[in-house]
Amino acid sequence: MKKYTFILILILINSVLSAQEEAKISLHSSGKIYLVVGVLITIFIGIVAFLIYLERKLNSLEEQINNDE
Amino acid sequence: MKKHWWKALAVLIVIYAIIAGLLIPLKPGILQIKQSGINSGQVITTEVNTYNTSYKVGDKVDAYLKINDKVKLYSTSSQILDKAKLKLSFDVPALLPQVKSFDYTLVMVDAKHGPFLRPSAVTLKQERVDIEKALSSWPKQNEVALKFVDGTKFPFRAVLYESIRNTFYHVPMWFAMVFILLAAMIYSIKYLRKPKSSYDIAARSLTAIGVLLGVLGCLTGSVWAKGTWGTWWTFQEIKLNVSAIALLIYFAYFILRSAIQDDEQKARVASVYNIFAFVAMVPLLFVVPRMVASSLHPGNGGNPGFGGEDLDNTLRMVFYPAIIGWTLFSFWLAQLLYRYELLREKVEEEFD
Repeated sequence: MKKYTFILILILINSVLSAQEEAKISLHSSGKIYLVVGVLITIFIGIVAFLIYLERKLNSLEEQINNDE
Repeated sequence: MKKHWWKALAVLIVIYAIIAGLLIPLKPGILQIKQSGINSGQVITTEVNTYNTSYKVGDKVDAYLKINDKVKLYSTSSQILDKAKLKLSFDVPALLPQVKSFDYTLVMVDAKHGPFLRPSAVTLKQERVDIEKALSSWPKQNEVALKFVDGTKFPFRAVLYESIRNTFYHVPMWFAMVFILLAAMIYSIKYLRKPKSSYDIAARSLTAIGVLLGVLGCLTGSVWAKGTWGTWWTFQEIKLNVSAIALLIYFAYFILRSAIQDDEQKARVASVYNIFAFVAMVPLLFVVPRMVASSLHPGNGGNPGFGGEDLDNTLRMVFYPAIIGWTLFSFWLAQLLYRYELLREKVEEEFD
């Protein structure tokens, strides 16, 4: 499971990066708007990272409760 | 639901900051002047590329080089090529009221777009300097009125262009971080006054979110810097250095926590350290950058940010709400973490 998640994340990162490359070319003439897209995506990834962190903690808490019962 | 109104407010404000921040257009601007170095005594016609303009063939566009407050050199004719391209002709006198070579601001004005300009756009050169004679023989021209047009638009800045919108996403990360870490310090003080473990948990959760915001501030700044300064990171820039130090101080907070076994001692030492960290961060972020003569961030060598040309009223209209929105949103994230930690503590107490 972990292995597949890792591969999926790699594919996602790769697609984001290549999309940014494309955006760079097509949006450059319209004045560096790709920088704003990049910043917003960075913030979104940060929030997602927090969600994953919290979810993993919750998972272990759930496990603990279930085991003790 | 009543308890959670501020979260709805956070979401609404952040949505406003994203929509208004992305949809309000930039003012028109001058991207490029084909022939930017001109010798005196020449009649030249040069192509000018503009940004966010909608010229139509036949429109009348006035343009001038601002020599000084009183003297202007008007273009003799203009010819529209397409909606963002035109040709300007200048009849440059043989004598200029200046030193041998100087960069002038190009100002363009028309009824549709109002006035806009590019500083240091055109360099005029002359062989011989005779300011008095140049002034007395300067061609007489009619002043063109600078009529402004209504409408909310963000300022056009060379190099930044559309990325000026990052003001609403990159900068509030740092503001939110400072507010969150201030709250963390307050809870640390509370813990030292009255050692309730929930205070320590609140301080820890807030600090974690503060560090997340700091890292996001660095990463978003890095993306912005790559596109405008041409590098992901530079140690020449004071604000980057001090924010890196501030973040390292806060990283150490968590290392310190993990190094102490006894829970009560851990909470007490961490609280003291948290207060120290905040007190150290304030001069790092707010004093040191003001003492340095030059910085790539706005407001170099003075009062950054809030004054003058760096932040105009249209930007403020989105920027201030964005700070409030992102700050409230961050408190929401911190609260989730706090509630989880509280729950875990309870579970551990019950099952131990």
